[in-house]
Amino acid sequence: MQTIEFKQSLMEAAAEVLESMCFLSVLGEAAEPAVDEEWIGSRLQFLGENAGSFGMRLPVSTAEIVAGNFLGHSGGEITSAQVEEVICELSNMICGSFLSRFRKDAIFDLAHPVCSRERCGGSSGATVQTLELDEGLMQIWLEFNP
Amino acid sequence: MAFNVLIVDDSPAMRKLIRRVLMLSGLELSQCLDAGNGQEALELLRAHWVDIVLTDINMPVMNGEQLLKEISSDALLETIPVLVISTDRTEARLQRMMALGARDYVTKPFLPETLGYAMERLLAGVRRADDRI
Repeated sequence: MQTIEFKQSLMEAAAEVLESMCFLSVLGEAAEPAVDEEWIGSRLQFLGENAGSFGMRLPVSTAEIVAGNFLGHSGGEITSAQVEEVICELSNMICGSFLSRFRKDAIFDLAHPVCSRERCGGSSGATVQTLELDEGLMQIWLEFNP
Repeated sequence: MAFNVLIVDDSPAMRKLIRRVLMLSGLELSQCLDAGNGQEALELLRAHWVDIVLTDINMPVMNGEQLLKEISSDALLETIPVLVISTDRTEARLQRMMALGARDYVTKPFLPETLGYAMERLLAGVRRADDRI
C-alpha cells in the first residue's frame, strides 16, 4: 500500500467510526496543531501477520464532545473517566477498521488500549495524520514494527 | 415475552452504548446483564437465566473465542445464541467465530439498526424454541 493510500485508508477508518458512533464528520486533513491546549489520547498494540501500534489524540474539549455523543449524554454531565473509556474504545475501533482494510485476509489481535494525557505519538517512522472534525481536531498515527 | 440479555465487552463505554441501543430498539428486555470478560460472563451465565449473549472478541482474562468454546461445550449453556460484536471484519475471523458456534456477527462500528435487526432475528429463534416447549 502506497503512503497516500495508507493515509487515505486511515482517514476513512476514522471517518467511518466517528460518523456512525459519534455523529461527527471528518472534514479533511488539517495542519499540525499548536500545542496550547490540553490533549488526551490512547494507544494500543496489535499482533498478527503485521504487528505494530496505533494511537489517537485530541484536545480535551473535543474529546468531551466525542464522548458525549458516543454515550448519548447531553451537556455537562460527562466524567473524565467516561471520556477516557470512550477514547480508548474509539482507538480500538479505528485501528480494527483500518487493519481490516489493510489486510482483508488476515487476523489481528488488538491489545487493550491505554489512555494517556501526555503526547502519545509513535516513533519518527509512524504515519501521522491530523484530521479536521466538525467539532475540532484529532490526530491519529500508526506504525508497523520493523 | 421479555428477554434477558448478557453484554460481554471489556470496554465499559461499549457496554453502555450497546445497552442504550438495545433499550432504544424497542426489543422487550427484562434484564440486561454485563460482564467485562468471558470468565465473568460464564459466572453470570451459571447464576442467571440468559436468552442471548452479545460478546466482543479481544478481552483480557478470557476472550470471546474461549467464551464461545466454553458455552458450546456446556450442556446447560449450548443452546443460548451468541452474537459476536467485533472490530475485526475479516472473513477469516468471521468464519472462525461461526465455526465455534456464534449465531451471528456484527462489526464495530455499527449502526444502531444493524444491531437491532440482528437481535430481532436471534430473538425470533428464541421465541420459536420457547413455543415448542
